Amino acid sequence: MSDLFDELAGRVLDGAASADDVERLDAMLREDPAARAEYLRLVNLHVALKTYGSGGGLTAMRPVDRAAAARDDAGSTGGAVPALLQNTRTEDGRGAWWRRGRARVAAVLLVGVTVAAAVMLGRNVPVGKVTPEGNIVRVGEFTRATGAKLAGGGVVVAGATVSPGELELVEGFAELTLTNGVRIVLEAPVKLDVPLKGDPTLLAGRLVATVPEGAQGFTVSTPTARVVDLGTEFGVGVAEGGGTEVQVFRGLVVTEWTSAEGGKRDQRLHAGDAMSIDHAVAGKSASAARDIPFQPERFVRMFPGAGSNTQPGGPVYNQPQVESVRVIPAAATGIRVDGDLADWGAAGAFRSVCVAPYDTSHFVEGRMRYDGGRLYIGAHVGDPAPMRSTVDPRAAKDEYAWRGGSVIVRLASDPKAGWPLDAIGTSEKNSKHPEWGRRPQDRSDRIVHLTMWFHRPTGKARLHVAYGMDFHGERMDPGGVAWEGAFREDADGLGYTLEYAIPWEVLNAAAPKGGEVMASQWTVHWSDRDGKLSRGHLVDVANSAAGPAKFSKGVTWGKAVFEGK
Amino acid sequence: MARQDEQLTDDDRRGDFAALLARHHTTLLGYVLSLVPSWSDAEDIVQDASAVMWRKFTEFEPGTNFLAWACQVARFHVMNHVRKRGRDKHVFAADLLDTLARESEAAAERMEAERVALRGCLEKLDDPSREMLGRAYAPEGSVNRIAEEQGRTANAVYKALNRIRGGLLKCIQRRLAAEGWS
Repeated sequence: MSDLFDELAGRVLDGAASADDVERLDAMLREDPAARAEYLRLVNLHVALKTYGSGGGLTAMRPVDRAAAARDDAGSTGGAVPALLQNTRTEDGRGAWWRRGRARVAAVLLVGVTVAAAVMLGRNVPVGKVTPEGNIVRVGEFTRATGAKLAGGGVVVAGATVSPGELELVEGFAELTLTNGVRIVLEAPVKLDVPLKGDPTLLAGRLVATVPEGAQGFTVSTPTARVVDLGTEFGVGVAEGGGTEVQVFRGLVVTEWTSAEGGKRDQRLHAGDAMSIDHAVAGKSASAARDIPFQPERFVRMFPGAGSNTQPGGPVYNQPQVESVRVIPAAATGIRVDGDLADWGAAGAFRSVCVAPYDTSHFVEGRMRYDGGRLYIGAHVGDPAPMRSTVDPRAAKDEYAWRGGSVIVRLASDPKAGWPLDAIGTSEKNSKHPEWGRRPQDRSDRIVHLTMWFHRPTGKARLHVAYGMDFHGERMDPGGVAWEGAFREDADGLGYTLEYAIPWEVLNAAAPKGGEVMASQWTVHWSDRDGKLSRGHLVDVANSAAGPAKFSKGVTWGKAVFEGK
Repeated sequence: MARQDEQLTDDDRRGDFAALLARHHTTLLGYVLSLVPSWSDAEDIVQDASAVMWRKFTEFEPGTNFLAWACQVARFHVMNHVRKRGRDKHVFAADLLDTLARESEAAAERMEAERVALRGCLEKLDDPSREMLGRAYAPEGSVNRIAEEQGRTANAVYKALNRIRGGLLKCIQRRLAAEGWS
């Protein structure tokens, strides 16, 4: 085509054409079938780029995309059509269509298009295949998803249909329920090929499959093995080199592989068993198998990486459910600060959990006690990377004490401050309230933030104290006072218990009397496996009636109710 | 043969409609954009047509071609749109629209293959080119904004974009030829 054609078509598609441009292009297209074909191809390219670009997909390509493209270049045509360019929108893919057409989309919703709305609102539905006759080919659907993104940027939402082909999750978790009822939890990064007929093949990454009655015989294939279910819950992982790990949580599986001698081998694995099958050595087709220790954390769920979330604390993973904590007088025999809550009793304990699927792995069970000399804080925290923090604010200026995994308890130690607490941080001030954060009650020495964490490099319990909504008067491991802290890791490595005793003088208060109420709030941070960055947190003990729980808004704090003897 | 949808529940049908619409949305948008050379108008038309398709989905015969049906519905909306625009010179003449619509429908399958091939081509782009495309096709992107940011004329940016798009089209053709498309 001529430069003029390219120029005119380009201007038309970029929305910059004059009436004269359109007329000239009209004349070219009318006369020349080749020009029309070229124009249609250009339109198609424009639409694809526009769709791709709406979520930043053009500027944020991942290495994995490049690798996939390289494989495509090498002639591989297997796998599903990349969802991004086919029919999904990116995370922020609502785009102009959504923004401008909101009213009409709402009208569509009113006629009850529940599922269709998932598409029309710009959610990503990784459906892929339709027969030439227009029938949908469906192998299952996503039943849960948290922070789950597909290769190329598509976002997984619960309820989305899954069609046969290769599924690559690059972030988060997604639960896929197949048409036979098998539930598969996928943990990114993971690549799974789900055929129309037959069982899936795990190409990379990890999954946990739960097989219901009637679906026994379900099989997960990997590059080195076949794992055949006999009614169970099991995990399968494929390492970078192609080796396979199998671990059985419940029931029984049979793992099949090809031995080093070339013969077919199999091994029955019961609950609590685990094995690995190494990838074939180059030039040979054989694999070596061995038993390995059962490790629950092998398939444990970590919060997704930071991804697009730039909050230093990571996302909040819960809805507060607890408004008040009972603070019970400590037993006369005292509390031994040793990381074991056995001497506390269960009274006054509260439990707060993160949203599914993290509800069983990320939680806190908190308790508070007091006596004339000290406030006691105890907690059992579900944490797949427990006590990993390498953070030391003393060594690095501006480092956040909570960042590598921590429990923070905030308390307004002056009962006269009342509840809800009228105190607010400067970050909340606005033009109507320029005084917020500067008032005496905002800078009170009796608003205390206690950050507690285990510092792995030194093996010590650490305590950071700050005061007021302006966090003044910071103290690291306060000296001269008899505070104590202890941590103990769970036997299964999936959590920890902390126990602290903090003198009332650290809180600039005398021991409270029974019946007194202090505003309070709890925050738990979970870190990455290196204990350096917070991947997400939970906030509870909150006054939900006052809006989203924020440490900087005292009115959203819950309360600690001190009970009498 | 009995209609397959007689056994389908409302939820099944909603799911089917959502899936089919999602599956063909990009193709449908391209189809409309080829007739109405304005992105915002094309989006509005597809949206209106989608709402009508939902209401009329019971008339859609399972087993027939959803995309062809969707194009028919969308084409009706395109014609309405053109009629409303009256003497506006920013739209193609009616007889050209008929021709483009016919040829666009016939090329739908290939267009899908081209979009798939595009991904690999994008990966091969150099970073400055991908950056420019990213800016041009971002939700709030515009040629004028790029020109302003880069201290270039809008015309120079158009030319640069055209060069990139031309390169991508060539790359796509090579890939499709390798896969046996004529």
